[in-house]
Amino acid sequence: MNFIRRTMFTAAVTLAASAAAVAADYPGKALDYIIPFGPGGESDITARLQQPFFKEKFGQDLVVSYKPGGGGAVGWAELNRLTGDGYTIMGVNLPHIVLQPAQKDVGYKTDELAVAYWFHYTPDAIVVSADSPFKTLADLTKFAKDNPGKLVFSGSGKGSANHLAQVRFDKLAGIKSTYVAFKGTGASNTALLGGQVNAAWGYTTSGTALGDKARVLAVAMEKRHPKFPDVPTFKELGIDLVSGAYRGIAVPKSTPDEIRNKLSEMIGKINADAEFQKKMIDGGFAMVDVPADKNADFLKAKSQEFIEAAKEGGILK
Amino acid sequence: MLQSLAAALTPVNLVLALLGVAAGTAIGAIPGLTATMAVAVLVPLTFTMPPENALILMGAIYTGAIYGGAYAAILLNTPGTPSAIATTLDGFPMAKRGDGDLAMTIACLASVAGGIVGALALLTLAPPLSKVALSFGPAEYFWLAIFGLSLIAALSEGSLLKGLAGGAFGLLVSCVGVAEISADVRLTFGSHTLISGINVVAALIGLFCIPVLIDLVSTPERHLKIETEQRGFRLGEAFAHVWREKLTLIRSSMIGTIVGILPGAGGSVAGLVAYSEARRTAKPGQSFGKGEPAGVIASESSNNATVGGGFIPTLVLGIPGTPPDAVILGALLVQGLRTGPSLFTEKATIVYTFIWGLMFATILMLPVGLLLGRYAYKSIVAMPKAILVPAVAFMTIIGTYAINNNVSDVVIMIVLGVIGWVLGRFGYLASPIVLGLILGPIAEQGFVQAWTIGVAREDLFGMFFGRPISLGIILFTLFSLFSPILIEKWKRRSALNER
Amino acid sequence: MSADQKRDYGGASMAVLLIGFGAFAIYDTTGYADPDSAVFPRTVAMGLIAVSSVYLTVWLMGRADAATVWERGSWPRRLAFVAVMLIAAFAMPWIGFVPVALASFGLLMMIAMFDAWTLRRAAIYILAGLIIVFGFYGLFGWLLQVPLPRGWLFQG
Repeated sequence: MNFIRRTMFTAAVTLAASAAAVAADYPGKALDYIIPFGPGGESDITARLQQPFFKEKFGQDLVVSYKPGGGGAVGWAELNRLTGDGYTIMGVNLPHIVLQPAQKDVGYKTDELAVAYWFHYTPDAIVVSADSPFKTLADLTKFAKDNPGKLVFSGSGKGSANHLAQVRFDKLAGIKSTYVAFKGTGASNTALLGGQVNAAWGYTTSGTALGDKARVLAVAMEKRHPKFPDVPTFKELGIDLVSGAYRGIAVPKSTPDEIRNKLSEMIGKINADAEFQKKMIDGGFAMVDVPADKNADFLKAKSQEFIEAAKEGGILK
Repeated sequence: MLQSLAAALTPVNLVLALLGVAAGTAIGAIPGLTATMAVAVLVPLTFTMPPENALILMGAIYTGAIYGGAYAAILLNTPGTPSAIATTLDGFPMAKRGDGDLAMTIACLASVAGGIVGALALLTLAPPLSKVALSFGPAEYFWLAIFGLSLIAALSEGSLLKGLAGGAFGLLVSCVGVAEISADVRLTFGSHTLISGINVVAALIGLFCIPVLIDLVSTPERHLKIETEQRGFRLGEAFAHVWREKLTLIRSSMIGTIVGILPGAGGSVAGLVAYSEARRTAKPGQSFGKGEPAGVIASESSNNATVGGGFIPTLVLGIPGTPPDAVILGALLVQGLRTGPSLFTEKATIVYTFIWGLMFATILMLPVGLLLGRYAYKSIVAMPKAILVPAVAFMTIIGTYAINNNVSDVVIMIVLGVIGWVLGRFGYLASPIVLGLILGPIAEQGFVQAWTIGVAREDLFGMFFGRPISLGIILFTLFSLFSPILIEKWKRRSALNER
Repeated sequence: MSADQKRDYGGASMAVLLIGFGAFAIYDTTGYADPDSAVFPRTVAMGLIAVSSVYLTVWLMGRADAATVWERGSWPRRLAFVAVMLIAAFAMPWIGFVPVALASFGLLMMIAMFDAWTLRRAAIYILAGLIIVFGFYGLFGWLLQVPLPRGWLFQG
């Protein structure tokens, strides 16, 4: 008995010590960075933007691979079954990891995902085509008030950040609009430019992608986006809406805390790099910094927001 | 433009084009490895390159992969990429009767020609043609899908009822998983595996390749008829076929270019539409579905034309025309190059150097393709059955796994293959099922979106029947469905009159 | 109709199965939260049921297609092929890619072998098998960076 206890104690000590030692050497080889979506999406693009900076700062490769399916659910359901040595990491997205498990059994729970860092978000924005009669957000809300239901928005997906933003905006602005879900931002933008819809609930990134073919009316950020200095935030216009699609990096649950914190620190360092920030902002992204130890509070606040809007929008019962 | 022509002709660019096309062809030939994946693998490599080199390399591998899909389609009855679905319909029967070498050469010629047409459109007409991408709204996509589904009538040999049932089965299978436009989980039988839906590529491999393998192991007969004498590339013969079908070639290339521009469609739709057009306008004596070279020409020229076509909205509007374009767009963003309306004026040198590079890559596909195709054909024909079967089976497993890095896809692929084999035995063919699978999401999304917008604007009828392009597609669908019957009747009547 | 044409029992039973699948799909649509997701599958399922019912009716009236002729060929080999494929797919996450690939390659080789085994043939075929398996392993695992299953059984 005594022997067993002693062995277990020694084992625990060695394990802790070796974990610390491992963390000191970390990263000693290339990291496998799994994106739970297909290539070409924004999650892929932001991972690709991180890639060269990771190599430059920490001397190891960040090898991007894909595990798409079920809007990310396939990857997240598998995450905790992967080896927790810090060399397998996976992208995580909001609102996906909050809404999917709330809607149905998808094989993982929100609080089972060990997030190391939330590093950026793409803020929601209302975009109209360049020849649209709506010059300001006030024009748009006036039209919606005069013609209830006739203001048609395109957006990417249902239960997505775009859709939830539309639901919350309708409530805050006291209007009723129609939301049409398209498969992805590209299709939604096409519908906007083709005049199939009046406006799009898109992201700041759609604004940069479409250039002078489109006009951004307002962005759902705390402060104005540096890339669009002339575009007001919803807050400035009296609508308390700050939202978007957040992206972070998670590790399998079995990963030692030391390594998770080290990774969190490392991603933070990339986020702090001026050149990286410039590339991200040029692409229309916006930075956030939520390290591992602040994840729980952040996720709680966001969950509440998203779930409330989802219930409002009729996606959650 | 001439300056860019010279820039594209530098040795570095030509080598990149050559390597890209060769690698792309090899990747496309393996079922499961798609053009999207081929391009995605390259992305980290391109970070260190100047943008025009990166673009040429990615464009070359993309066009090569679309062409390479024909190899597996002709030799194994399995589209190497979804774009080559229509190539199986006549390519495999040609190979079976011993004309595989001819089919391979014809596929190469048609692909090069189609690729050049697409690239020419990109070079000369990109800004005006990009408007086509915008003129297609939800209602148009819905009717386009319905037009595609009307092909079932042509594809279901034997029993039309069974063809329709197969098509409906395919449409239902396309609904499995999380719905694209709502967030409901559908038809999963409570299984976690099915939440991500049935992957189209996995389904293609299962439905087309597994039945071939099941039949292959059951008898000692050879897979393809062996050629008796050395016939080389049969280039002259292939040229003659292509020349005779020059109208089909041009029409299919134009269909491919236009469908490529449409962000909601893609190479598979282009190939199927072009194939059905070729079939509808068949001359007497042509037997589509039984090894008609014109079928291979239509499919292969149109799918390679989608490459150039797809780059049009990608570069002009910043909207990817096809899935590989989305990856290329992302790679350019990392490079700091913003595609979009201003690209053609501000970064004109880069853009035109790339377009010329794509053109040369397409031309280089001729020698590269002929050589690789010859090699692929010879090895498949010469391989003893006891090696061919495990090798192809192994390829389907690893290829299917690689689509999403997921073993569940492999299981789904095999199960669908067995279902496809059983249904096939009883006269329910694979092609209508596949048609349903591919067109299902386009039809459903188009319908629901058009419906929602129509209700919001209180003009549901106008939404579906009041738009000029929609009306055009509807009329064309009716015409292609009923013209064979009418022509048949008219012929019979005139025959009676003569008597 | 000539007497030797058998009635298409297989086609008819498939029609019954498809009707069953259509009915299941309609039942499934009743559980969706968003009515948008039910419209399409319900319409298609009704179409499937209608078309298959028409076929059944035609068949009952004795005017359906002739049955497809059952090809000769070895049933044990067909079944063994499917079994090996399925077992390989299920075993891969546990045992790992390379062992499963080698084993299934060998088994399929035996299933597809119609000539007599000689020592020379065996040697050549096994060599070819090894080259193909490891060639693809290198292509996918190394060049294309596909994370191939390593096998949970043998990890830590």
